[in-house]
Amino acid sequence: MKASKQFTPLRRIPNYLVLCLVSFVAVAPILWMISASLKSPSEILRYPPAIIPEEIRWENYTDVFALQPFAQQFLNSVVIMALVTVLTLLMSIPAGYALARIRPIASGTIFLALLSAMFIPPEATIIPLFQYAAALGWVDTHYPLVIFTAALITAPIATFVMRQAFLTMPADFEDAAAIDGSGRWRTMLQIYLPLARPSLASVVVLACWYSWNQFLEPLIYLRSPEKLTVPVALTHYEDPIAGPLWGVQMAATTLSVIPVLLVFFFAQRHVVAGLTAGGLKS
Amino acid sequence: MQRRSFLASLGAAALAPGLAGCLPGFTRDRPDDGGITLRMTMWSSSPEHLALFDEIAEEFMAENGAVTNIEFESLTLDQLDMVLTTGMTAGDAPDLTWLPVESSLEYIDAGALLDARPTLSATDGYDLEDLAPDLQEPWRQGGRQYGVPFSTGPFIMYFNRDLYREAGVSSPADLIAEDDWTWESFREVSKQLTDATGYPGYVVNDFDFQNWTRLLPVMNAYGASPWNEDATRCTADSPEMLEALGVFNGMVFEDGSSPVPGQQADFWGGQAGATTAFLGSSSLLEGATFDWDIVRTPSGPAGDVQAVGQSAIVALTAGEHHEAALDFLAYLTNRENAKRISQFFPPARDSLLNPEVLAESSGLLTAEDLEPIVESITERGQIFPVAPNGASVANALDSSLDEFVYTPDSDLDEALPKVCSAIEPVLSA
Repeated sequence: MKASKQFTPLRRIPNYLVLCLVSFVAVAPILWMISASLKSPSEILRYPPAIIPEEIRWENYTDVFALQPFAQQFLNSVVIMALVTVLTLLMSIPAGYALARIRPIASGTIFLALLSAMFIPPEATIIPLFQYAAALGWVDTHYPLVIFTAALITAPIATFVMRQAFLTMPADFEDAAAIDGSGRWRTMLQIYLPLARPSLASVVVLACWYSWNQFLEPLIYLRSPEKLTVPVALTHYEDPIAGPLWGVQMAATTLSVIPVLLVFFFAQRHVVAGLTAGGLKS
Repeated sequence: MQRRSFLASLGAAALAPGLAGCLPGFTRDRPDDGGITLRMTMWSSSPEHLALFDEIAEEFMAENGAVTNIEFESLTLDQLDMVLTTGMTAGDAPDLTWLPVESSLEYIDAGALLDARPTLSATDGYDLEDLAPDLQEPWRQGGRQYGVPFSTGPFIMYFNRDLYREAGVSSPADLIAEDDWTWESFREVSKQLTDATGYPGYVVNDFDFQNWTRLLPVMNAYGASPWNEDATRCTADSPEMLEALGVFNGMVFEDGSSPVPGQQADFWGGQAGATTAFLGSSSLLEGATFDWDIVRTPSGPAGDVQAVGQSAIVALTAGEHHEAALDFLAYLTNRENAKRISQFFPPARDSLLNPEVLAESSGLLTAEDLEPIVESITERGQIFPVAPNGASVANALDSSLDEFVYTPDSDLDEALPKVCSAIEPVLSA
């Protein structure tokens, strides 16, 4: 208590300076991106860089939509991300619950197989999966990006997370629910799931993040510009000879980041609450 | 409750567009009329380029009833190998593609490209003789033609007239007028410019000490190449290479007139005296706040040899419709369509290799600017050297140059044989 009283505003200055410096490291690339999105190609490449553009070029933003169907591509990423997240939750919650609380025959082996799947890099499986997708007529559609991603990557990781969450909960809840006449599904959904909310939040963040950032898979599976996702679309703002159209690329990146930042800004209370709720034992 | 309703509304908001308007992402729109669908990959997403290729495709389909759909798939050059090899391995390769000359031998040796010569010869009015013979060499082997170049762009030198004026030294244009346009004299004026202004005299564009092809202007001027003509033996330790890299390393590490590895300087932003870059890079000068000009790259003991990059349209053996693909290749590259494509890419047909046509494809440059450059390409142009295992050889070469050559204390007499030891096994693999 004594120490905190001595913590006068003046003494806080070094702390604030350090914090400002650390924030600047994080914020500087974002500022540079926004600034570059308003500059001409020659000004972007000038060294040392200046944050305020000499002449503001709004054309970079109009070019984003003139050169590619960017709004559609952004929507594609959002839809794929949402579907991957929903599928991941649908698969991982029952699977994690079963592995933790029901423990069917060979559950250890199943869990080990799931863990192994997490460590296979996508580059190793892309060719057989592409052949499979071609046989199913899924090339140039979003099916492989939703189904393969959820089933083979995000759901196994999420199952691991959910299993660990369900394992930490006391079995007494299950017994009490059974005495009250609750079946397996009801016990899982109404007794255990609300207690696993922090882990659910982690799974949602993980599935969204993985799906949004996917690059190799959309590059291989998708062909039509209007079906591309944001990470691949961003690479297409390039002149075949002169190289990247930096101004337009930065404008497109800014546009793709702003909605995510806005959602986080308004939802940060919920996200942070979800992620930190697990830190306290009830 | 508040959190639950928030999450529910977030989920609904995310799913609504999917249900409302994005389901087309889950269907593949292809006409089901029993006709042939051709697919072609290209490293351009430019609406103008795609519109032109679509227009040519429409005209081809109108003449060729069997083909009812042609799809152009855009990607970037560095994604090309990955997409093509995955498609070939999985049995879903495109029928045609753009291919850079650096990959030509690798794809030809692998039997991945179709011989287009019979189709080109049999196509009425194709005018095969008009394809500039020297510029076709990488695509011709044993009387076969494995691709038709559609873009043949030289490296040229761009220089910042303001910086030369400020430094009060002879500019590249002055050196040409004095008939002293060599790498040695350019090195000298670059050092003077750096001493006077503090800016680098020379920056290699798109290089970052990771792309050896960007040093071809200096290598060619000294008659140096990393390997011999049939790509069977490393020649990176030749006396010619020693001289060429001696000039470059001297500028970087002795004179300080070119940035050292890790140092940033950009010509297009006005922070360097000169750069060597492709003809089409002039679009980067749009909005430049300094006075600039272009000249051919300097000469050396091997004479005035201009490095020329190239890309061709090829038909793939792994494609589904060989005959239709070759017919479309012939149609795309006939004289009339080559002229239309030349508004974006420098052509490789004798009848089109003139300053007026090149000016159309080179952004801000005029026919007058380009006249001396066209003369040097047609008379002394040299296409990039190619090797089998092109990608692996390039990786080995770039990393060994980085390790042994691009260092301040490197002794080139000792370093270059080490470069050869690194690439020789890959060359002969």
